[in-house]
Amino acid sequence: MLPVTPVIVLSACLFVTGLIGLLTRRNLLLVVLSLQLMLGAGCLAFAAFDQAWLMTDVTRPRTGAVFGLIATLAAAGQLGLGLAVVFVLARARRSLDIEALDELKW
Amino acid sequence: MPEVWLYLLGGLTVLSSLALITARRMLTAVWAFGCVSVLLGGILLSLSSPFLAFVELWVGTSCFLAALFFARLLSGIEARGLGPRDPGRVVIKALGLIASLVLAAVFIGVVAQTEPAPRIAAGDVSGRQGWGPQLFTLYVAPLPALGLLLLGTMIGAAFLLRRRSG
Repeated sequence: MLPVTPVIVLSACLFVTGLIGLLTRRNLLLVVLSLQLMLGAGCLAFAAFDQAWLMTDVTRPRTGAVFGLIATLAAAGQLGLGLAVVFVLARARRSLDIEALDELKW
Repeated sequence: MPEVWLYLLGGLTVLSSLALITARRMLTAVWAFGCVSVLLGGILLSLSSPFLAFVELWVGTSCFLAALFFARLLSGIEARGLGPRDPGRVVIKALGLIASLVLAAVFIGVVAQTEPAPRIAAGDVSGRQGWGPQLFTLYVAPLPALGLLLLGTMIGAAFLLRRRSG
């Protein structure tokens, strides 16, 4: 059985990396991908805690894994819509700079 | 020995994520995102979550391909001054690619319902049941609804794109 603590640390590192990318990058596509990185880190944490709880009681329902699945699929839908928005904004505004996107209508 | 692989995969994942957020070109960032997805799948596999690893690989690869397609498209648009001749065709291709995500949701529902059946039929209901009926009845049953939500999202995105591009 693999240790869980390094996986939790890795998940935290990935989450912080995604957060830094989300806050510092100005390209809309990179912002969307950074958000995906954060969601992937959350999915990894779900799986790691699921494994940790499974080691204590093998009859537990695998709640963490299932929530990880749902988080992964929700991230997939979010990326699909996010890419569509990126494409539309790129065509409408001729730019992917989020600093230029300061209106709710275009 | 498996711990060494875990540390190796983790280190590569962190490096790939750093490459993602520090990339100067969109294509570089998208490739780094693809690496992160594959490595995350490997780590989940190491965590004895093969099904979650499979879904992560499936979804991650689909997202990577879609993002790669969009990045190439946007790069081409930028190179040509944001004026492709027939954006409707490329949009439909991209949405067809993204629609594979919906298949992942449907696949989850089917496998979660059928996978543990032989073990349950053989009387093996003790201990760890894998992706057993408890998951399906408790948590996985709403996934077809999630698949429909994904499908609705894709259709909405298609309408949005066609309206804006047409």
